[in-house]
Amino acid sequence: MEGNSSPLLQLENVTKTFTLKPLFGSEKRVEALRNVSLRLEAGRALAIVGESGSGKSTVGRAVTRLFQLTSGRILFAGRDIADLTTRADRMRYLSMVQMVFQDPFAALNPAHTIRHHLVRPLALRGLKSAALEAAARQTLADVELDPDMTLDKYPHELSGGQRQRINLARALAVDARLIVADEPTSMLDVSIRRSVLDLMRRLKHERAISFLYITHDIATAHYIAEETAVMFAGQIVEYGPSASVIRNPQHPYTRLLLSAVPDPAVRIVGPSGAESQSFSVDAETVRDFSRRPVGQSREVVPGHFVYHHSDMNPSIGEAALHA
Amino acid sequence: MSVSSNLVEVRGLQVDFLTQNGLFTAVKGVDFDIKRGEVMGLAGESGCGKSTIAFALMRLHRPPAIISKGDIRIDGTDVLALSPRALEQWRWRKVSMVFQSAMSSLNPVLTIFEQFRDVLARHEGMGRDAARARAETLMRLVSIPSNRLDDYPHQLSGGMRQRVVLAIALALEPQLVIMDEPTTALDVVVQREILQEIVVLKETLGFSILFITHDLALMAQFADRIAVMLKGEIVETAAVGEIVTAPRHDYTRRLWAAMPRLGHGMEAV
Repeated sequence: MEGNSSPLLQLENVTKTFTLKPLFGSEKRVEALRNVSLRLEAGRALAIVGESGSGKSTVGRAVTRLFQLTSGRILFAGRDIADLTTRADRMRYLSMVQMVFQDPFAALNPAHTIRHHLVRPLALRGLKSAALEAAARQTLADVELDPDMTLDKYPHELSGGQRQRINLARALAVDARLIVADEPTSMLDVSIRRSVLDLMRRLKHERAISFLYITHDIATAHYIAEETAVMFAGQIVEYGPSASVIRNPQHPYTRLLLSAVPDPAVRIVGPSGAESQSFSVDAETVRDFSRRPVGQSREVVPGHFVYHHSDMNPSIGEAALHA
Repeated sequence: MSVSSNLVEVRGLQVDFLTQNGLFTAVKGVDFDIKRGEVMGLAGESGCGKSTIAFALMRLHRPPAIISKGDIRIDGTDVLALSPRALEQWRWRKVSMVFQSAMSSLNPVLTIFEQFRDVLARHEGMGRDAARARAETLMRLVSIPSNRLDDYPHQLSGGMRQRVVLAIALALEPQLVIMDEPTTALDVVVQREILQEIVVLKETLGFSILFITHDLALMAQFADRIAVMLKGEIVETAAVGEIVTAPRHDYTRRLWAAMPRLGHGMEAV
């Protein structure tokens, strides 16, 4: 799997253990990331899918250098980001790697207009007066917003979808190469999620911006990302091309996630239905199984890896492996 | 009035908001019914007025919102005619609600048991021991060990808090439970687990549900009939099968088209 050129982003055996020290009682260790390895090429998107507490957001925060790793390395364009010690290096890295958060309102300053939000990052590039104004207008046009309608508005005057576009515009304003998008659509109405995803897709194609797309919604993951990594309890349990992971899921946890995606063709039925009550029981069994250390991966088809394969119970694993 | 098959009958409901720029009509004369034991879905985007309807049904709307026209009958009771005192007795006993922000609709400084006791003492005049016994039963109903009653809300996971809120809504065995985006803040697996549980409870206890969400796919898995709202009006009401396979209104079709779904658009990456 190792190519000659170095990928834009590479995680090598990244482990992060948080130690919680409560005021009373003994300290508690939480293994948020356990031996996570990932790679992302320029101009592509990688989705990290998992439920709350799976460690998916911790990956994003590790990439944006919000904390020190316990062990492992994160390479950006071939360089270990822990070695970026000079201020200039760090600043350059932080402008190339931008984050878009879940809550589009909390990420904007309610006391300032949209112009203010865009002019500040643009001014970092040395732009002044007329050129600055023109760049701000262009950035808004790039995220499909009307500059005349938007520039002088305050965040509260925009809809959720528009606000998320502003957050993407801010990342464009500093010329980001990698955008870490942590649940960027989960607070938006279902009906406007797609348009925001479409915008992200366009930025990926037209500007070769890479996306680390963090979500619990595996259905949107395949819509934007070429590759998908499924995480549970701090470990990657399955990893590969999105289409392959979704069409031919190998790990029981991946199958659980897929079966929970709302599908209008599948009715949720009561106790009279056969499979009904078993869903919760199944979910718990799968979670317990998936918590174990993963061990070696197995390559299902080129590029599609599954973990835990050696301990998989035939009833949950083998049938699908040979399907 | 004889017992009709409709638990809820809403006719010509209009809700206005008094704003600086005059009246804003959030709900423009809607009609709908909910049958006994039925799950009625109300779908639409943010701001279409679906939560306003939910609040109006329980008369929980507050100024600047006013119900200016219409008629709401729930189990034969003219809801808009109830006196404040009667309303207090009627709420939660007949109709209860699971709010959109269920994660934060619990009081953070009271234990789970105190929150049950608040409802049971106020409406049923129950003493401490009786309330404890009832709360334990309700916790078992939503599959949470009853020793968690002495925990505070922050000690429970999001899914558990949601179940507690649901159990409190069922405490007085209401005939209608209004659920306003009950699972929006949860991830998909937990969402599915909770909906499964609601279906089981509904079959055992026999209440009706008004289920409000913007997620049409989720609603289609759960509701018997769906009303689609656009800008304060119901544009289409139909059985769930029709909404899924043969939506008549253009807006319903647009809602479906706007959703990335598994197996659709895979080639588009």
